[in-house]
Amino acid sequence: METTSKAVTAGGAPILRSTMYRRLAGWSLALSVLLAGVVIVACAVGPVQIAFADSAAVILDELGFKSGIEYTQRDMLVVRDLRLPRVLVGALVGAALAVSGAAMQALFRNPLAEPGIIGVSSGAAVGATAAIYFEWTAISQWALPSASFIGSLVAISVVYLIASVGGRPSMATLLLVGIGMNASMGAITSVLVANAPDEQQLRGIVFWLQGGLEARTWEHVELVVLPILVGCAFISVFGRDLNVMLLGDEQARSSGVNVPQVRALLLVTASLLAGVAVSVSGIIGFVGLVVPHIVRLVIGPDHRLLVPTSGLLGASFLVAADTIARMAFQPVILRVGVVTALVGGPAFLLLVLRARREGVV
Amino acid sequence: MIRAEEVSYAVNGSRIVDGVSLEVEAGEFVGIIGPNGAGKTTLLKLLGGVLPATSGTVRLHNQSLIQMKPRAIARTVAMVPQDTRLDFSFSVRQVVLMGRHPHLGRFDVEGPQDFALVEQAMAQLEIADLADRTITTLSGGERQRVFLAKALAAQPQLLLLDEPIAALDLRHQFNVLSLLKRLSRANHAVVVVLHDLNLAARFCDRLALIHAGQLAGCGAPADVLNEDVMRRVYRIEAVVRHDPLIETISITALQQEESGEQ
Repeated sequence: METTSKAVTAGGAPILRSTMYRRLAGWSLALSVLLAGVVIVACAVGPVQIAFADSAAVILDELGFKSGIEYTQRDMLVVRDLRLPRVLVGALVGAALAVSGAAMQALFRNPLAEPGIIGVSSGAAVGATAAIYFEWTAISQWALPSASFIGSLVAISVVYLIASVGGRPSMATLLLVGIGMNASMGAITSVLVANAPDEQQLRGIVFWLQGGLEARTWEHVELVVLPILVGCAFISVFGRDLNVMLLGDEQARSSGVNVPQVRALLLVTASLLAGVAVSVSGIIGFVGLVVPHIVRLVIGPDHRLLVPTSGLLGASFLVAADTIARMAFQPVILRVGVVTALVGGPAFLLLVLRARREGVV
Repeated sequence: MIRAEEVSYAVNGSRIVDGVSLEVEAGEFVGIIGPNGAGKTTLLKLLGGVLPATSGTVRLHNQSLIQMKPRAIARTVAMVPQDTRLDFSFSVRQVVLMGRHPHLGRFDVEGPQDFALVEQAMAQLEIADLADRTITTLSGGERQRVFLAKALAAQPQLLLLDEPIAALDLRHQFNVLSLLKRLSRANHAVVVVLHDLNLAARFCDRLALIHAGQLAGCGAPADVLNEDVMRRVYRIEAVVRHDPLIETISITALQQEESGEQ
């Protein structure tokens, strides 16, 4: 009984004082500062070197704040018209993938789940590959993102329909059908790659499959900003439900969560989020798998914190990876999807090592 | 409080629970007993609204469970599961706090009152010193008490527990059953699936004996458990006698017949 009273005074009080929202605000602020820093650096570096202060000033002026710093017309055009849209698309895609991954890992109660688990990415790959192969890309610049998004929609609809035969789909069934879908979509993609009519198209397809953010414009930003922000906010609001759902269906149900309804809503939202992201970036692996893990290892598994902070870290991570892809090792071509794996892999391994030493995993 | 009216639950045509009627009032401590695979856990899930009855109705305060929202049920009924494994490294306190979920709106966070209830529940189950431990590092018995604390933190009127003492040592078995008994005396309704017939007879006001999905007997322990029932339902020879030391019946198995039952 002695240990009991000690724990109540020692362990109980700090929690009482620092509420969940205070932690959320603290972490969000820190990660937002990080994101702002990464964005400023990403807009400053490139073939045309721009001072960090000027880069920050252009962005601030663009946002409507009067920074009062003088910069040249050329720097303004480079940052505003060339780099900022690319960086913003990267940030939005990174946030979408990380939030989607965090949600999938909770929904499947499996730390190895990722945004493409029920066929979103492989379906998008077929759509995009087909668009390049059949030269729909010549019709309009929106043909590629549209085909990609339609591909992911078709893939997840088919997965859901097959899994629903004979009743409500269980998560295990969805996972299995998703694996089957990923395999068949991968096969179709391979056929299109192997039969690409010329070098140009082959290169286009391979580049799309490795992910890339070059030549993204303000139109791309406008296309994805609303769906991604709304999707991320929607999933964040279900943080406590995701926590309870990790205890299992029956515990969640008896704790008051309408499991089938909440699960279907979040599964569709997380999938669409990934579909929207992939449609403007190509396949970017690892962000959705690793970023939620990194956050979980550092701030714990509470999804009310985990979901929004994963979004912020995912945004910084992808912008940084894209900057490295642009700048490092020229003239070796590094695609951003490759850099996320190159940087993310070792970082992740280090965190796992640390966690094992501390006995968390 | 809760009333099952001729409830059945069938999977692929076979009835796991078959036309059981059972009523439990506030202040009662009822044990569900029966051999393995009799349908005890399924009956408990039907009472908690976690499974929908194939036929028949379960009423909570005279309202059919199927017509109630999960949140509304969860504010009145708390369940403690048999399987308490968890792969995500929540702290013990975080898991117990999840018991407050049905009482919190979508944008609410736990307030001082919620934390007070959680600390109280953890103290009652002697897990306060584990509060900041990660649940994945606990033993089965410790996890079982964590999930029980989570159920208590929900302040339910009806507690449904599936073998809550299966993984506990003798001291904690007695502590948990005494705690449940006290809760029932404080006007909660407690329904608990138990395998230990001696403890069931000793602590429960009434026993509901389930055999092959059907209610094979319901009433005071001494009325439900006798040598004939042991032979017929449990397929074991046993002596059932009054134990003057604990003022209740005591069952001693005589012959360990290998019949597929444990």
